[in-house]
Amino acid sequence: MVISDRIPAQKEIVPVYAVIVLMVYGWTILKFNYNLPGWLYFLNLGEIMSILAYSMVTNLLESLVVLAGVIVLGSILPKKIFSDAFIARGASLSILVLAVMMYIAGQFSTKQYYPAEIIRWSPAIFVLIMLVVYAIGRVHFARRVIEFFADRAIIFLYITIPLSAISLVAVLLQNIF
Amino acid sequence: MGTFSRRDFLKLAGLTTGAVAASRFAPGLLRRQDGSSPNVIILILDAMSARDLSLYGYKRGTTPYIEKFAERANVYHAHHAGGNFTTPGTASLLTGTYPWTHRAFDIAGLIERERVKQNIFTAFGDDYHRLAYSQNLLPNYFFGQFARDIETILPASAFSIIEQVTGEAFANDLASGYRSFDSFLFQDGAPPASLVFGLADRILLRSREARTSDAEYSRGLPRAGDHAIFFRLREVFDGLNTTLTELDSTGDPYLAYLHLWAPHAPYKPTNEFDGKFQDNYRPIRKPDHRLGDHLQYYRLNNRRQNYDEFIANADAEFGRLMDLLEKQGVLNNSYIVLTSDHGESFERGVEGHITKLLYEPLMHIPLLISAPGQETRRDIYSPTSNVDLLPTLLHAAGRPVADWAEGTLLPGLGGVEDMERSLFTVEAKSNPAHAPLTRVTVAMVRGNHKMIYYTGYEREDSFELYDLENDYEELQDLYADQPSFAGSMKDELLEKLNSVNAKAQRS
Repeated sequence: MVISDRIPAQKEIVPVYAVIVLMVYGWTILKFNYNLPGWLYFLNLGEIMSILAYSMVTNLLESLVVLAGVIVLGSILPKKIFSDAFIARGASLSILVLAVMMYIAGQFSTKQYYPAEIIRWSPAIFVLIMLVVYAIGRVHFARRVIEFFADRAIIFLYITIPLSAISLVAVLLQNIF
Repeated sequence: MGTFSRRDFLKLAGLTTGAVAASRFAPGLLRRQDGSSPNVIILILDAMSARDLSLYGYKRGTTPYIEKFAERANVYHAHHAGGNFTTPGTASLLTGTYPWTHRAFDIAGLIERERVKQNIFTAFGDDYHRLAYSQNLLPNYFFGQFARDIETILPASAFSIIEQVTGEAFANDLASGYRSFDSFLFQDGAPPASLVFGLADRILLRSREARTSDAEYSRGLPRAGDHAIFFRLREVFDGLNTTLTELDSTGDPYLAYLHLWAPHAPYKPTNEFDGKFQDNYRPIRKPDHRLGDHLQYYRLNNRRQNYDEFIANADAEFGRLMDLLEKQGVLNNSYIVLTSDHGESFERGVEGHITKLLYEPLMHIPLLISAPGQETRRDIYSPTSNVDLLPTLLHAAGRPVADWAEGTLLPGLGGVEDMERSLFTVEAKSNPAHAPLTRVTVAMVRGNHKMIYYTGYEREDSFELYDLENDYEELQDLYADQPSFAGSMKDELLEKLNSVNAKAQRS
């Protein structure tokens, strides 16, 4: 069997991507809002929009990288373990991995901090996450909840994707001319 | 075959961009000049207070090499910065205007957009090759604003050991690149705003940092603040030497603005200087200021020792650079300017320079200018300001002096000593850039006297008045004792502030 046959259908990918977008963009927008009052002191609207544009483009690339990781994982793992409940497992995997990343990122409050312990334990953490992800696919209620959530998250794509596309054009124009 | 690192790529990209910009905006650069226009090299040592330099009488021998250089330079003894941290201090130097005019007084502020063309690079014109380099990212925001009038902008990470500066990859949009990536998405010292790439960038940086040990730096490599630039001071000065030698070899006149991080915190001298000043020196104990940070005296003294050692380290490298440039003949046709953007405090409970205070250690900075072929020392004691540099250097280079500049020609370089002139230093980082100054500290120096005005911080505004000639340490507040003189200083200061606020209101 060729690996491309194992790639999930678009209708399965979209909800998973929506969850990723929600978390990746949400984190940055949270930080953006935290910084905004300070920027309003000395930046004009165009300069603030420029930061937003770079952030959106970065988030777009980040979310695609995470999605690619989930798809690759779904393609190489046996179907019974992952792909037969791709939306629930892909979304829960994204939520858990990104939540751990948020926890680690939150620890970087000084210039000296290095999450040595977390990095050392990361294989074990990943295995644990995969067990939870597998279990979610097996528990009907949990699976339905995640699928429901992922489906509802699609609405954010209608906002973030056009904004990211406009941002990408703006960034390209700023850097070409 | 050697590896082609990301840094090499960025250097190449920077040079290529510079070359393209030069050909596009300054075709005159290809013409060989007749040699009559002198080069101008401005060297900024960030956060170097004149109060900690033996050149100006400080007890510790921090600057033997700068003192040697002083033997062939004009030495300004009462020189003042425009602000008490990099943004306003540097903007005042580059625009020849006070912070209330250029409006770059917030932490990462920008020069007022309508005034972007009023800067030293534009004023020198395109028959000068204009080069800008700053290890501190804040001046790079200005370079981004002036980019069309600077032929070569060296990346902030040039001459570094470890660098992970993303913004400099956006050569056409430098200010936004730095601000978006290095001061937001990937900024260190706070959780990164970019969850995936930011976190990866942070972990990679820490790993590289841990792998880079340096026997010469037991206390770790110097680092440019929150930004991912680690460097060896010697290599930075070597880089400057190479850059200046290459510029000089073209025969075209050039203006080089070189803004180094040292001796800014974190103070990381080499082992040779680490511990050099373990001498039990105890500076005068000054009372904590109510607007200060209330840090303990012993802590301030310890930090001051580290600072002094870092100054001594930078001084030695400066001396080495001057020797190299002299051997290569660069000094024969060059004005060399050595100054700082602001000072540093280790008194009244305040460490560093992020403070509302404007005592002399924070605003009294060194200024030495050596003219081409100058062989004698000249000491100038009248008050001067960094806003004077732009008109003075334009005059020295035979350029028309910009009428928008608020400074005047420096004594000894076209100007005269004026003890009646009033100079200002402004601290307003918590005031919106576009609004009138209502939360601000203003210091006004006139002759030997200095008035400090605090407004917007407490219920009541307050004034302090010092006689700098008889009270070098600013310990005796004369505001209440000399009501008549204080009144005249106060009237002038308030009149000035009201006038600049009225302008801000109108615009």
